[in-house]
Amino acid sequence: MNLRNSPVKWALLLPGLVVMFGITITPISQAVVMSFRRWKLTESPEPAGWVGFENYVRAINDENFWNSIWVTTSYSVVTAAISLALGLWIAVSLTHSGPWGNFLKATLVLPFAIPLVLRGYSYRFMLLEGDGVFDVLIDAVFPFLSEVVWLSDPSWALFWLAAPTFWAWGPLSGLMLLGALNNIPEEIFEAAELDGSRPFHTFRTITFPLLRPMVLVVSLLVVLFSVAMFDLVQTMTKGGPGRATETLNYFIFRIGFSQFDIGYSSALAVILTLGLGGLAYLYTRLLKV
Amino acid sequence: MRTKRSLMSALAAISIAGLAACSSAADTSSSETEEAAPPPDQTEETIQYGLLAGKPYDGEEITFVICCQGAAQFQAWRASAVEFKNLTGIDVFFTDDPLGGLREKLITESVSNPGSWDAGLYFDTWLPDLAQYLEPLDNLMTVDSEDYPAATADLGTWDGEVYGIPARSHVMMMYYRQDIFDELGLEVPATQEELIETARLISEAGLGVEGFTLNYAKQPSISPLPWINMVMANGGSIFNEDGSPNFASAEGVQAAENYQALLDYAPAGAAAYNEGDARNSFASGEAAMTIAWSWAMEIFANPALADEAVLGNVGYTAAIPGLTGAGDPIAMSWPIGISASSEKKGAAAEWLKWMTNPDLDQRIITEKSINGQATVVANRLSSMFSDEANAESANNGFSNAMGEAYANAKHQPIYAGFSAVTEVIEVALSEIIGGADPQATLEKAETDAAALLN
Repeated sequence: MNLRNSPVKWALLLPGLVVMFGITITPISQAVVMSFRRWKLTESPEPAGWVGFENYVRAINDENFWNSIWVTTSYSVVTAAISLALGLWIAVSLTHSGPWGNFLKATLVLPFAIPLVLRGYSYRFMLLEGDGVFDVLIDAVFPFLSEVVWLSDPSWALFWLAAPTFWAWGPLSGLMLLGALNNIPEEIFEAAELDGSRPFHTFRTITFPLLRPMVLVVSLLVVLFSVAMFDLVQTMTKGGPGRATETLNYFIFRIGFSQFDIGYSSALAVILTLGLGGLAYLYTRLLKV
Repeated sequence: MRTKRSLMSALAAISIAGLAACSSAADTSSSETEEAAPPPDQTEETIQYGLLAGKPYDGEEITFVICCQGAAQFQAWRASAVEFKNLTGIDVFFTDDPLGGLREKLITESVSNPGSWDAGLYFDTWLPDLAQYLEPLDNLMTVDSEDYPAATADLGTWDGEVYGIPARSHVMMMYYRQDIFDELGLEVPATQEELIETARLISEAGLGVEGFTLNYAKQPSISPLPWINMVMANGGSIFNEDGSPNFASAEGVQAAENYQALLDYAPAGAAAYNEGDARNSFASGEAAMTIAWSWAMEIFANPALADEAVLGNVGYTAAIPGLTGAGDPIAMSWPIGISASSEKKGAAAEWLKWMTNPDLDQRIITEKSINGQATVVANRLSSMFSDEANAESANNGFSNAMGEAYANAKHQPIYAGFSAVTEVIEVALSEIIGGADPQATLEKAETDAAALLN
């Protein structure tokens, strides 16, 4: 029986689709509805009246919202850039690497398998001034940085917030890029070598362009993951120092579950969802080019 | 193609139906909640502590929302639940939620799952937001606040109604290493200027100990407290009489400048210390002075938790250094209340009567032989000033000091919108620790807080 053209396939898919719609479309729809209402749990257990686009206008006029956009963008760019650079380096290094390389390839997913909460707490302790292993090592190698209290410095705090992410995404990206790299015909590289192309030139003009689709996929995944990240902020910085690490997702959490402003937090969540959707659409367009 | 179109239409219809059902449920859930049975008449016969005779709630189980399983006082309560059950027949289920999620639990459960909890512990500052979900206690039991310090007695009262009884109360105190002070010939500082100078002398004395430690890291509801106390010690207030924010007053700015200056004589990582880190910093001998809640003495006097150099060498005073002299400390409490949607309000009231009875309050602060239950936390003045609590085998006079501290203590302002405003203060102080100008930062925070309160 050829299910591809059979209506039976829809019947088989129906239960899964119902569940998926139920746990995604329904709550998203509720959030959209709530974003047009005023509802603070600290004022009433029931939603108040419809307020139109008031919550969205409030977001546009809220400097803390724009701060969180900036923080999220910075965090995502740093994470994606370092993850990709690390991934490319790993992929190129492990091509034709023999048995030891095979062992290393198997370990590439391990950092990603560690839960974010555990990574966050671990990094927080490893960065403790004077006692944390990272702090001690960095101070030994770079004495001019010994006065820096990593998670209390706005710039460094954002970098270290990104660290547990690119520490995990770098190797995983490498694994994905390695797969793409292995699919490039060997003859292309042999021809380039015969023509006298140097390694960096070969990488820039042949390897990277051929890897472009996978690079775009990986960068999309890393960016989506980074934008949705919450655990690391909650465990490492609580959005501080000041609001230096208050990402949009953490900002939404704070509005929704600290101030219990359900209407406003729903509007922010809708904005975030639309932004992510737009980003994904942009990537798919780039992939088709 | 037609089949596909039909299927997508069906899925869309299902989603819309689900959305409509959920909205409908949300809109009608309150009307469908059953009315709880009225409690027994308070004129019925009672046994000790006002507990009703005849075990009218025998066999019931109540859900008690509480956090921090490891807290010694909470362990003592848990142990006393056996005795409570013998007297009343009521089982108590402790939820043991994380502290960070306690407020969320109380509010979201009250909205989305009414009746899921019966009694709960909450911060005094949460009461304005929580009151609509709590039952006025005067409907259920006689509340007597005479034996409580003035600073905490009304912390369960909002808008003229009593919603809670203080169950876990603290007062801010300054702790210092008596041995280091004796060695260097130092006096306990009375002003903030003296505090900074004393911290500097200790840091520069070459003893390997810093002068001062504090929780400087941004921490919801907690990190603003030291600064607020310093403002109060300066004779100021973070709110004007009309309720408008007053963060950038002369007292507020001076307190912030001194709060910032003390960081120079704190351990290297103090800027990232939360409340627990700061406590451990003092207990480990890393610093010679700190300002912390009274219950921190449990840590500083515990051989398993404090360094041997610290044990037995901890001095304490309730006189928080101010601008011109020692000032009043902050007091706070965690009241215990009853859910307005509980169907077991009577049983929950019995638990409140038990938990807040004077004998249990004194027993908990006096008993030190049970592992994990040795605490200095007491709510009643009679407990704090009792001979038993102050015996050398118990708290060695610390309870007296705590009771005297309460005499001059005040609680921080309690107001609706606390969570949003305190977050503004947290951010401001975090920026000040990062080097921002205190005056400008507090002025901005004042503006932001005023906008939130309007």
